Amino acid sequence: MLVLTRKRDQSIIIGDDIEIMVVDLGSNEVRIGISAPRQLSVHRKEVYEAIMAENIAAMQSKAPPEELPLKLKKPADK
Amino acid sequence: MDIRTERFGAFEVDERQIIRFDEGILGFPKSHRYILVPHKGADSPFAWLQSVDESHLAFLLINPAVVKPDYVVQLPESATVSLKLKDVSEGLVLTIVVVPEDPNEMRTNLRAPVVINTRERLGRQVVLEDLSLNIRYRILQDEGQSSVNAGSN
Repeated sequence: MLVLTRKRDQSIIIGDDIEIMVVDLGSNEVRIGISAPRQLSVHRKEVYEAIMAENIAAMQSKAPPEELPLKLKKPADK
Repeated sequence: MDIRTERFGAFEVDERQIIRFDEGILGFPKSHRYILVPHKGADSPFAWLQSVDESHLAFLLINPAVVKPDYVVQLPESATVSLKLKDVSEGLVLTIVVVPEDPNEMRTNLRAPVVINTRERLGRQVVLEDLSLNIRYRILQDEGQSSVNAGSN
């Protein structure tokens, strides 16, 4: 991983199209601004990893039992 | 074309059934082509998303409206642009199901649905920003359904 030091308001450019800027600095956290092509998604890493873990669990799933009824809440129950 | 699958054996697929997932499903970057195989059984809300590129890879999907009738998806721009959707209503929204050892614990990921533009045959797993959407939403409801999120802020 490339590690760079930036001050507030300084930026990093990745490739030609992605910019990462230090918008604000606090003692425990940093506010980061991201500018990227519209079709790229940007996510907090822990969310991304949680989704990936669920996908892996899903891939290992068994088929749903044929006779298992879905005891669904009717809309009125909501 | 003929495809080989571990769950369904070999079968023939029309090129027009193939859906392109340019970003793949999160965690599975090598598969870019999938087909949707409806689960057998009349009125089943389930379908399988079977990879054409990797024979062992298949995901069980469910129509989330059947599980949570008020489920509404706000698509981020990255999704509408990459899927060429003008509106989420143009897309087919299905959520990935996990069937653990105890099938009563069956759950689905409402935070990151699979969205498919059936006209363009493009698909993507979209991570939504709404933190109230449960990554592990139990499908078989009983009292005391927890709404605690598995994801973090």
